[in-house]
Amino acid sequence: MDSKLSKDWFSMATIYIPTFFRQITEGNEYISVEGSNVLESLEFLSYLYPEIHGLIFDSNKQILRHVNVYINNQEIHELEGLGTFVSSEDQIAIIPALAGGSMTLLEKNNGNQSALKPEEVMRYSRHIIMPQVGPQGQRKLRDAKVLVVGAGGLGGPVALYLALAGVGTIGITEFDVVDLSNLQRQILHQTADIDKPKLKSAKETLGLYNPHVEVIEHPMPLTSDNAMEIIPNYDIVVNGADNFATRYLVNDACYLTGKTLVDGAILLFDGQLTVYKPGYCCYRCLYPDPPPPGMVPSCAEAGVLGAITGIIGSMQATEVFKQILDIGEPMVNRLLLVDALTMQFREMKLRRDPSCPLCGDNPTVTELIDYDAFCGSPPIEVSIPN
Amino acid sequence: MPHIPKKLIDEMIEHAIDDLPNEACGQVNGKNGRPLTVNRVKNSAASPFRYSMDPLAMLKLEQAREETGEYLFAIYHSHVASEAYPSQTDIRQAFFPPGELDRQPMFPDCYYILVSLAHDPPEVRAFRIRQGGLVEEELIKSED
Repeated sequence: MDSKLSKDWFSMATIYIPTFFRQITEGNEYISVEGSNVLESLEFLSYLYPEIHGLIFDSNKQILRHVNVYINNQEIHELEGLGTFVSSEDQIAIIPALAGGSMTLLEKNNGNQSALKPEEVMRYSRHIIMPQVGPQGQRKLRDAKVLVVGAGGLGGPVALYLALAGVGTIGITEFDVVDLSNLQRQILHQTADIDKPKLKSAKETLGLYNPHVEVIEHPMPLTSDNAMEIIPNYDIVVNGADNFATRYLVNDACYLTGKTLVDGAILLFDGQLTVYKPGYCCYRCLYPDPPPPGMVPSCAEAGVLGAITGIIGSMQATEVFKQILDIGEPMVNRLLLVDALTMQFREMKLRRDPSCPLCGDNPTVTELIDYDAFCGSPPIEVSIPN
Repeated sequence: MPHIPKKLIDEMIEHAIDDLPNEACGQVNGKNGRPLTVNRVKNSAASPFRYSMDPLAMLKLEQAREETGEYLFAIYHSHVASEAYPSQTDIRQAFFPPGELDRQPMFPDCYYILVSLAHDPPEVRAFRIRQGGLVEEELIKSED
């Protein structure tokens, strides 16, 4: 096959190689590649320079998070992603991300180096033995402060696994009392706890599991009036709220205070999981407006599988664990959809929306608002236990 | 020891203030060992706690430098409420893939300049990030 013929069959796009990659491409700035779309072009490049493959692709052949690929000044995800067609006129550019950020509270916490006691070393030995944790990681867990919103279906397994793992300070906001109908799924409460404040029952249960953990009680619903006082005391917030007003409130308050929010949701046999971090996709990017009141039923109205609270809650606890230890790939910019009936796990990619009213380029939400009015929901009723 | 004209330092501080409450970021181009221009880059993270340089703006700057024979003298960004010192995140991100501290950093000859607005007047300090994640401060010699 002569080269002219091959040129008719394959388009030859040009790839611009950033400075840092030129140590691999023998100093070449521009490389001509064959391929009908971006994926084929980049694969051709990795065929020429095999070292490049692992620097741009993950194990699922997706572009790594910290690499941007542009065609003629447009990011490929704004086009057809890796499937975007290329012609010989096109210039593909690989641009490694340049990023950073200020010191987080967790980094400052690393200053506390007081040793683990022998009982703690034994208790957490199955964690400490893993290289990703180690004694250093276990101290990070001990020094971490996590706020769990709600001690119900999701908050239960979250708080339980965090307490078992030795997360030193767990704050819980909860104002409800234990009801017989909670016991089908809410693992912090038992039959004898009926009519007790959930917070009291939760604290007792967690204390029995791990007496080293300090449980801080916030016996009130999280509101616009108290969120900015409570949340700054914590490193990470976990959402176990069961209503939209609280979801928007927690999202906004976490963004405004720079906190990472580990979010989960459940209904029927379905569950969702994601992590919102300032600078990445937030709840408002995903859902700019609340659903009309009454359109999405609550768990009380529609029902919920008890075990799905354990699945999603355990995953939320896992994400907190990863955040504290700074290991693995966080569920940032990713939404996991779990269908327990088919037992299928699907993942959606998320992106920060530049027009988001909270975290966009020109934000209009710069302080907490009236979330009950925003969601058209009646204010939360606080039942005062006798 | 980097020699940086006071004018350029003031431009970085001005940028940091302009972009409040978010972190500001940008690149300083240089030639023959001298910094020449401060180039603002959009922080596409638009966050008070992190920055992510707009990739397209970076591409344009890099291609323009190749035209003029300039090089990347420094990467700067602001910390709105913390010290002018590279955070763990900054150090991790100086490597590619991020956190691969055993490799050579992405820009071994480039200064990392931090502008802290936690102080009044703002503080500007320069660092090198070395293989292994070591941070070395380089005292800035500021000239009029």
